[in-house]
Amino acid sequence: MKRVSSVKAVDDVDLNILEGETHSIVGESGSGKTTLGKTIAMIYRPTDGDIFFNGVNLTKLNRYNLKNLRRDIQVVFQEPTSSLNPKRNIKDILLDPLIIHKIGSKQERNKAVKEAIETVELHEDFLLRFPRMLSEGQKQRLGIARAIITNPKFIVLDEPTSSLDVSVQAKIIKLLLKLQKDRGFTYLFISHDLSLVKYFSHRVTVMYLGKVIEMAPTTELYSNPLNPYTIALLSSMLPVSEDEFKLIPEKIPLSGEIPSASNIPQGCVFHPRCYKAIEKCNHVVPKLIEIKKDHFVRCHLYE
Amino acid sequence: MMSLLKVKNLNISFKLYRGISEVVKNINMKVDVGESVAIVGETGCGKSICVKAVLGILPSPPAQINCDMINYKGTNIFGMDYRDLGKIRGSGISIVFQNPMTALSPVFTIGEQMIDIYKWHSKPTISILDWWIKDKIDKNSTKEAIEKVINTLSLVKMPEPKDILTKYSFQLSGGMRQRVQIAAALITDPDLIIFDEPTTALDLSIQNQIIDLIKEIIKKRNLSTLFITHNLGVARALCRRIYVMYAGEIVETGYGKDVFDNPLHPYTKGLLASIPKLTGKMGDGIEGKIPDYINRPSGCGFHPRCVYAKEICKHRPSELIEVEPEHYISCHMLTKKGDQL
Amino acid sequence: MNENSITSSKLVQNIKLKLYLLKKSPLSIVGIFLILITFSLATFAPFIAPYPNDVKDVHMRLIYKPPSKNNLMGTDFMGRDILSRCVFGLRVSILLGIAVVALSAGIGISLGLIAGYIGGRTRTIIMRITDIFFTIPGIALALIVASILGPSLTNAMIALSFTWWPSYTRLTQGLVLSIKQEMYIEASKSLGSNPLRIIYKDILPNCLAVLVVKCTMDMGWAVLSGAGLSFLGMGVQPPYPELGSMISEGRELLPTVWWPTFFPGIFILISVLGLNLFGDGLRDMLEIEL
Repeated sequence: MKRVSSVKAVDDVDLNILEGETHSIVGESGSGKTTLGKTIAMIYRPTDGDIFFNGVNLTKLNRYNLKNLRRDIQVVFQEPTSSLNPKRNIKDILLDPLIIHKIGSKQERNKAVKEAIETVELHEDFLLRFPRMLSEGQKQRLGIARAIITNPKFIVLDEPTSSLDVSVQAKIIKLLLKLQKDRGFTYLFISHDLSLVKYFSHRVTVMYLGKVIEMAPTTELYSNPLNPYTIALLSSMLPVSEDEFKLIPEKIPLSGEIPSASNIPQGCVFHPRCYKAIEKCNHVVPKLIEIKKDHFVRCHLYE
Repeated sequence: MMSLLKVKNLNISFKLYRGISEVVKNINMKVDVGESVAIVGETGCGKSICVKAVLGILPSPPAQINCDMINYKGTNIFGMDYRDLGKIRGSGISIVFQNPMTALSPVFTIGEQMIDIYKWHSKPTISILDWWIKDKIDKNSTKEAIEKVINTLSLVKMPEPKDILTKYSFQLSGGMRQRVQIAAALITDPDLIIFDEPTTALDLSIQNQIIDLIKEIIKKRNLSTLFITHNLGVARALCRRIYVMYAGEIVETGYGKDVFDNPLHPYTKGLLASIPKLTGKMGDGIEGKIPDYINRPSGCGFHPRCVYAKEICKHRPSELIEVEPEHYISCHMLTKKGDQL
Repeated sequence: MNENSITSSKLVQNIKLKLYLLKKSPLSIVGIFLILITFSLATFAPFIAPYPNDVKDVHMRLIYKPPSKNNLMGTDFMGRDILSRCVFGLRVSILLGIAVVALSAGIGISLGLIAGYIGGRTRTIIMRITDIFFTIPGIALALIVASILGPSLTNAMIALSFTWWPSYTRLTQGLVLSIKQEMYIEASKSLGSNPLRIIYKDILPNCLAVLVVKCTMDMGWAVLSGAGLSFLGMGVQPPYPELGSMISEGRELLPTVWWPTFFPGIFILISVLGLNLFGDGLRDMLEIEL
């Protein structure tokens, strides 16, 4: 649980991310998905609870050990432009993680920078340029290069393609897949784009107002969604091709607005907008239960 | 069917220190009465600038706008005096802007803003006499305005319209702000509403509410609409006809069904393929990036990035040809009969 | 293409852009011109001054001679050539300007960076101290400090820096607060960067544009204030020339004997004007880079 003043951004989240998988977290605004991702990357400190990385409890580490572990956990941010310092050239930006973690000698670092920029399919010439001279897609490639240069094991991808055009997004996603295949990265992919999540992930967690409300392998979640919110969310997708329509559940219009995070409803957080709510939903918070193998749901209808 | 809005041969360029940047070239568009049309394209393709030029809100000294004709309801509004244009803008054509968070003024209540729009929409210049004195004396006009505002807010399904009048924009959520903007566009009883990225800043569940609302209103009032968006899913859901823009030119246009199910231009094909499909496929994107508008590529504007490019594409500019009934492509690869060369 | 050619072509493009912008702002060209004149006069004073010894020498027979062929700007109450004294005085004034700005910027910016980044109680303490200094009017404070320390050039510099550093702190603190929100700062933190490195590598470069402009504008004011202090007798002591004290010495005989006050005044005008105009143009040029 993480408290930010009197707002519960993330509440009672249990998450298991397996090595080498792409685990997506899906949700709308106020769901806490970004806060969760950044807390896992230890940008924010959790108010309560533990984060185990390879058996090590991150929340109990002292500053020095935590800094060392940051080599293995990296983040690719949402807005490529604002996540890169406009006054530094690309070479400096890429050298930064290596210098901070004191990796390698000067020559080894320069070599690593060259390799990193080639891995993300940018030309060496870019090294002396500044971020403002790059296109959005190129900036995001740079963000990815910065994240992989310390050879991490785990990368948090915070909506990395939300601000990119669709044609650029496809290339970035393919790059991320290639990197995962070549180097075995584990991804935590935060997104609100349901079609992209289906394409890109192995397992999906759906969040609403700070709580995990459903978690399952991708194909299972999309073909057999259980929580009414998940069903409604999936039904709101707008496909572009004819044959996708039959893969979307029947349209369920969700009424009302998403409540503000400082005013979370009692009982089940979704009950005021739920089209299947029963009496129990008003006062009792449902628990997250494993209904089928590896398919978890938080809903009174399935208890 | 008569055209409500017809744009013929629109060209927009900007003078920069490096040279002249030709942002929009040879745009021909139309919106028929009661029709929903979408302009889709990626960032930098010029769709917003195009529409702003049509409305006359693109500041003209930095921009140089050249056009044969912008025909609205039979009159050519290109180059019109700003007073006459203001009357048309206020009462005939309305626009709903992209970011509902910032489109409403935070220092006036919703009620004040909407009443203002209703009272003064067809009077682009107001004398102090009109505004200060006559308005204060005429109590009825305010009452009438308030009634109309409440009616319009109910039309956009705002809960408790009377309460909303005294609220400020920052007290409302994104979805509600968008509804207020739509109400503000409707209150002047327009014939044409232009939506600039109507759902981009909204959450998924709210997006559908807004889309359903727009569909309902269009039907009720027999409105013509023009949507600018880069979200092809939204375009498909809302529009009958679609214009696909690339680098300031129209590369494909036709009925939404035809363009989405059978895209013919290489750019449209690449674009649609890049969208991840629920069937599990996703294309590889499109190589390269948008051209430098100061040094445009010779011949067809898309040839540097086109997988099908041939010699002719480098030398001859392409024009829109009708390859199927009401389905136009700007490409050398297809003949009039729709066969691939 | 090798590294060097990329940098040089980008550099050339950058220079072209700067020159284009400069053309658009004729006033800043005037400013640069004026600065060049004043700086060269000051640097080459010993060679330009027709009577370099008049810094110290006294010629009682030549007192109050009006501008003539021998003395282009006339002589003062001790018969010393005003032109020569002016160019030497210019040296002092400019030196004062640079030193005061350097000192106050150094102190002010450092405090501002600390206050802005660390926040919390440290920031409150620093900002309240800054506020206290703001309440005391500049010249008054400078006079007090100068009179405590005793009148001399160095003490004048120290005194003026005392009054100048708060504005740098306040400005820097504001900049840091807004830059702190940017995503690249968060990115640096997630990489494991320590606060000192973040301040030096990420925050400071992004403040520099604004701060550099302020420094250039402030130099004008520093020169003016230095002259003001000397005018009141608290700066450089006679006989060494300083533009402000020269004005002070000459004011009793105005308006008949106008040249001992007029010409030093013109020199002050040109240097301050040049610095201000240039600062304005600099802001426009740097904004594009931002």
